[in-house]
Amino acid sequence: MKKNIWQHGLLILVIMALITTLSACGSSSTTSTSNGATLTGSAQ
Amino acid sequence: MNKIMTWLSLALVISVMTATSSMALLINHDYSVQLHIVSASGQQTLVEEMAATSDINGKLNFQFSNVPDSNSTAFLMVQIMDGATLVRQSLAPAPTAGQQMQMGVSEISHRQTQAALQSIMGATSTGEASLRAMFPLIMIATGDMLDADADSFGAAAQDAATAFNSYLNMNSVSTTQMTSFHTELLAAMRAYTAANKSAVDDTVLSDAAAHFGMASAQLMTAMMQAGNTAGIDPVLLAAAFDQAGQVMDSSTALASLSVGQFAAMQANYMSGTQHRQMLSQMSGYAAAMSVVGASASQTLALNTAMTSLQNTMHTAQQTFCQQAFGDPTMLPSQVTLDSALGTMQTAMQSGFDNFNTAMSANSTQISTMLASMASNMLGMGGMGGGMMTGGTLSGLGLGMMQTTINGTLQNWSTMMVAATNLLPSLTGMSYTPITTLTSQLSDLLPASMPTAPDLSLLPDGPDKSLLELQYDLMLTHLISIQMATNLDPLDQTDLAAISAANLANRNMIMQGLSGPSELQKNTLIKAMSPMQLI
Repeated sequence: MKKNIWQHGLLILVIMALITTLSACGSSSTTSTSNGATLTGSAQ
Repeated sequence: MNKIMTWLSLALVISVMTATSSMALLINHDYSVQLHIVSASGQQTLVEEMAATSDINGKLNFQFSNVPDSNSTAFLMVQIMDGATLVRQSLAPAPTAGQQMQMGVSEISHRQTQAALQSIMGATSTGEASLRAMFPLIMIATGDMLDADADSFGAAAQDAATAFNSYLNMNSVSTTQMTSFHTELLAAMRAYTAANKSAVDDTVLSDAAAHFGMASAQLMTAMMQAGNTAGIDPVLLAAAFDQAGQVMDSSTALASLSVGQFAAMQANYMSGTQHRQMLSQMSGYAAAMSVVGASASQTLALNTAMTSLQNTMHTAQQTFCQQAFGDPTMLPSQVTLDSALGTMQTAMQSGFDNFNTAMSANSTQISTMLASMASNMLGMGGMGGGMMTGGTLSGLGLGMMQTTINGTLQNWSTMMVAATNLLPSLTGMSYTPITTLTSQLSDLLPASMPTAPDLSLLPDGPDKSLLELQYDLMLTHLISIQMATNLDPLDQTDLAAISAANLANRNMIMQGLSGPSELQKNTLIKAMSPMQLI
């Protein structure tokens, strides 16, 4: 029983760390900014 | 014969190859369009790339979704690549979140961007970079220049931005006002980039030049509006542009520039001077009208005259661009530049005259105003207790002004008449006339001096103070006119000297006023100043 609680706790920590890492990756990427701004243009 | 033909063909191919960067894009040709982010200090990072093929007119379209916005970068830059060779580029402030931004990429934007990249190098904030990136837009109107020329313009633009900033700081513009000005400036530059898309989309050369001219004129209006929103005195802002122009002209960065290239820049920058000058005064009048409680008809008259002058100025700048920079791949000659500037100045003068005519108060309005002032003064023991009417004041030449040296007297403007609405609330106002203004004018050796009205019999009080204030502002105006006459033909140094002297005199006049609030003092000075075109 004691071991199960530890295993669950560890699993939750790992998941939280993963979420934190993934969200950090997302915010540091300039190309993945999804703010809806667009750029339309013409060149000559 | 065959040998000659071979050499001629070779020479033609070489000349076409070397001129590629200053001609339209190749027809039906595959390019790649790169989107970069550019930091305030000028660091570039490639974000995305797409393929595009030019059409039969040498034009291509591009679109990027979910582009980085102003929360993550200072600028966006589009570069058109032919293989590994950069052929066109355009730089613009990054859009705000969710903004659908438009951009024109042309021979002109290519050179403006090259200069801007040079100019923003080392900037420490987006605000500082915006100011440095602004100057190439009002300096460069042609794509016909060498890489080295564009770099030189960039260095001079940095000098100009520094001078502009220092001048505003020196004249007590606060950090908050500058921050607000920078924000508005970014919006103005985005609008300019969008307007340039219309120029690129047009396949008729002269129509495209008209679009470009309109974009430039609208940029000028938006820049002055930016200052207005930030609460910067518009006359000070116009003077700061003149100071920047002077520094630009004398910048060592432009020492190696060809005579033709320098002349083109100077003409383009000067083409905006009169525009800025009149915009600054108009925004002053507009602001004053609400403070003085102008009537609906007075406000309507001003708004109508302002719209008309605004349109005239935009059309004049459009025509200037068509005449001087009709072909973005060809540097205009001095003769062409002079002719285009001359045409523009004639149109500006006509717009100015029409504005003055429309805003000149009629005789009934002047009589009513003088009667009211006479009534106020009677309550203070005017004319030694004798009779005083509006007719008495009219007999002293009051309600009239001189706007040119040797000029005939004309009625005060509607804005001046409206300003007298404030008098009942200015019971504690007094004005100490600036005696040096008369000597300043006489030192410039005008053909004749104006005759000062004899106000000695009028009782001290707000009405007399307003009359003295109006006369000093008229002298200030005449000093500028005479300076311009003495210095003609005017260059940027002359314009800077005239606007700085005008500003200094207005500041002295401001110091001479006591009693009213700062807002009321500013309002009176704006409303009581005659419209000026140098």
